[in-house]
Order: sequence, then C-alpha cells, then structure tokens
Amino acid sequence: MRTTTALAAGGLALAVVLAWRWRGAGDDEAAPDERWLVLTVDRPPEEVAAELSGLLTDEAVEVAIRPAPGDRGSELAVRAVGGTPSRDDLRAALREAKQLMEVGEVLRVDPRPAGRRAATPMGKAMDVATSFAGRKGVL
Amino acid sequence: MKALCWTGVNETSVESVPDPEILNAHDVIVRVRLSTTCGSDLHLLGGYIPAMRAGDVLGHEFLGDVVEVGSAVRKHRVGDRVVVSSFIACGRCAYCRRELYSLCDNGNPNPAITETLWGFAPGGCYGYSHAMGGFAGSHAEYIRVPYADVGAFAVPDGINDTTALFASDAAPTGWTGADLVGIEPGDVVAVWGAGAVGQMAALAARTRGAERVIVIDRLPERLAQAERYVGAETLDYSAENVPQALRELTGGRGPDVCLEAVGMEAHSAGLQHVYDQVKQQLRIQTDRGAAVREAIHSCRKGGRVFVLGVYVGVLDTFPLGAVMNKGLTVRGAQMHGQRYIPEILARMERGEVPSAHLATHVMPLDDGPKGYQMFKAKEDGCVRAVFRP
Ligand SMILES: [Zn+2]
Ligand SMILES: [Zn+2]
Repeated sequence: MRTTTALAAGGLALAVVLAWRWRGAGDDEAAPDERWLVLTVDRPPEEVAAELSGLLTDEAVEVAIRPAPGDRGSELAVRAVGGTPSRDDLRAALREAKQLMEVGEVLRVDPRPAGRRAATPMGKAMDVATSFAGRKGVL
Repeated sequence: MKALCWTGVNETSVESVPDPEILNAHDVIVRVRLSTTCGSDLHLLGGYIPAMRAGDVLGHEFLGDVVEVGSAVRKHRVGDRVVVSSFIACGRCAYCRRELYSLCDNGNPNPAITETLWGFAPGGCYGYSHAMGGFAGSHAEYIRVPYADVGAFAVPDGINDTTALFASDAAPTGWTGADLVGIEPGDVVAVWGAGAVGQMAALAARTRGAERVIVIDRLPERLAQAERYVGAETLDYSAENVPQALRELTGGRGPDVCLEAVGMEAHSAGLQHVYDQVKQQLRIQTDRGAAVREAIHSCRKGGRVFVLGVYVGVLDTFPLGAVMNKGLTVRGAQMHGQRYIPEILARMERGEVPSAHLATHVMPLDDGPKGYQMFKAKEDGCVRAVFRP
C-alpha cells in the first residue's frame, strides 16, 4: 500500500510508504535518481515522519519511511527527483536528520586545536579527503 | 595552549595550538591531568594509518578536571575530576542503547573514510586520525569532550590519578574482550601481550570466572608485572614454543579462551616475522598478524578467540581452515568504555584493579617526543609513558 501526503508547509511531498519498493515507483512525473539513500533511525515511524517535515524541506526530494523489523526504529529512505539536490548533499542531510532525531544536535568537530599544517602533497590530499568525509561514503 | 602533535612518520613535536571550544551543547572542556601513550598510537605514528594530517594532536586515554560545561550537560559541573572513554558515543542510537558504544552511529563526523574501508563506520575516537572523526587528542593542556554525560565519569576521591587514568581505555579494552568473549567458570584463558591492555584483559578474565590465566610476551619486566599484579602464569615466546607450552599447561586440550592484545605491529620470531614485515613495507598487506595466528592455532576445539589488538586493513595467511575445522568463535571489538568504566571505577575504589604500575614513566608534556621514543623502543622497561601537561 502506498500513501502520499502533500504537506502544506514548504510543499514537501512526503511519501509515507509502509512497504516501499526499492526502485521504480513508476508514477512520478520527474524521473527519480535510481537508488534510494537509506538509513535506520532509532525512533518510531510516526515521530520520524513528524520531525522530518521540519528538516527536509526540499520539494525535489522523495521520502519514504517504514518500520524497521524487530523494534529497531524506522527505515528512512530519500532520493532526489531530477538531479537536485546532489546525492552528496542529500547524504549529508540524511545523516544530520538522523542525528537531530536521535540526539537532538549535529556533532561538530571544527574548529579544533591543531599544530602547524605543513603544506605537503599528502597533506593536501588529506585535506581534500576530509572535506568530503561527511558527504561521501557507501550510505 | 601546549599540545603534542604528529608532524610526520615517527615524528612528533610540542607546539602552541588554539584552545578547544565548546561546539555542541553536550560538550565539556577538560583540563588534562594525565594522558598516556598507547600501543595503538604507534600505528598512527608510524604512518600505517594514512588518515593522519601534520598538526593533529595525539592522545586518547586521559583524565582531568572539568573547566567548562555546555548548556545541555546534566551530570558534570566545573571542578569535577573525570576519566573519559577514548571512544566518542552519543548514548542514544541503537548501538549505544545496546551498550555497543564504540559502534555508535553518530560519533564520527567523517563516516566516509571507514565506510569505504570497512563497509560501515564505527564511532569516533580522540586523537586517532581523521578516519575516526578527526577529534583533537588529549596530549594537551585542554581537550573538548563531546557527549560528556555519556563518555565522562566522575572519579571517586579514593582513587589516585595514575590508577584512574587506565579506566579511560586500557582497562575497559580488557573488560570488553573478557566480557564479550563469554568466559565460563573453570575456563583456562590465554592472553597474548603483557602490555597494559593484556594485563587488564587478564585481570578482567579473572573477574568473569576464569580459573587460570596465562599471559604471553617476551619482555621480562612485563611478564613480571603480570605475575605480580594479576597473579597470572606467564610464557616467554622468545624462549618457548607457545602452542606446545600451552598444550602442556592445559592437559593437551589448549586454552578455552584466547585474548589477543598485541595488534597489527606484532613482533614475532623467525621467518613469519620477516614475511609479514616485507609484505607490510611493500604495502601488499597492511597488518602483521603473528599473535592472532598463534591464538587461533593454539585455541582448543570449539574455543573462543577475541581480537583486542588494533588492525586496520587486510591480513595475509589468515588461518581460516583452523577457524572452520576446529569450530572456533572469533570476535573482535574496539572497547565499549561507557559500558565498563562504572564497574572498573567501583573495583578500583576497592583496590581490585592495580594499574598505577603501568605508568612506568611519568613526565612533563614537553618531554612527549622523547616519551614516545622510549615507549616505542620499550626502553628502560617502559610499559606506558604518561604525560603531565
Ligand atoms: Zn589506547
Ligand atoms: Zn550512539
């Protein structure tokens, strides 16, 4: 069964799906990016749905929520419809939404104490890698 | 403030760095009293973990005084003397609720690195490379402690600083192995490594009902500590064939439980060492595994092996045949400090966790670079070099 709720605020199309199919929802006007980004939030689906409406306000994002098996909270899936936001932005937003719902804040690490950052090629590569480390990954 | 920074392969220096700030409402700032070197730092120091950046502040095992408190902190006040779990965990996610704190979903702001390496990201850790979150370490005058209500624990007055310091990581690492491996009364437990973690694992095995504990190392001063403070039997692997000696000591059965507390820089004798070292230097394998291989080989049929030593990547010639045909259970974990620190502090208060002797060399933070050299070379019987900022 599939229900789609259009929320007034921000125009977010929040698709609350009890058992969503992983690809090919089929009936959207814009073609969604093929794969969902999915993680599990340790909160009940109703609470996730309620809080999410304030967090993910991009109208080009399709959202699905279903209960995780064995009292493990909710499986939360998002995907962009038509290329924006980028998968990296969406991945970062999804991780932050999970933290806000589970802990109430997003863990920060910058600025942090550090000594002299020598300008070496390896150092440069590390800086690039860490600048993406919250947005990339296998999620 | 002053801090000990990693500056390049096997190089550290004491530098002047900015003070840490409260960044989240659940943070506290701690003025560090003591901070210890750890065997796992040697992987970072030696460049085996490539996610280090020159200028990173080292150190993950520490105790100190709370000097500033974030607005959402409930458990701590300015002036509290606290010991802090080396792993950073939110306390709220599904893993934390199941007391698997080092697997926290929310404690690592750089999940991409370890997700790519291992499939999923564990929690964060202080002073432990950008792969583990890029948090500044504790070899410094001050340190920021996120999720302070979850990770920091007030130290009872009856416990001195040097003893309580090891409740931060070394003792809970030992407890993690001995508790999760599932020791049954009457079990014979063998522990590879007589460093701080090995000694604490041996002690923890006793608290979980082990009848005999046998500790294996090659350094006489460490073996002597394991005998004196833990009451363990000991084996010197440079003088004995360990699997044979263990067989003899256990009536031909082999140990029921094997705890490996050595890690990927395992030192061993002979050809296997040369093979591992060459492959590691050529980057064909990342981890040396003499101790974990020997533990699997020595373990009794149907026994349990727990890997506490730190590994990062792939290990060649892993004895999977022995695991399968002998019906072994092999487990590993980073430590779940938040789960075991309350029990450890209670036992420390009763004098049941001797650990101050592990701090063989206590020195000012300014001597940090020398301290790491001594610790790495195990000079002068150094078990742990400890810094006093
Ligand atoms: Zn450690
Ligand atoms: Zn957590």
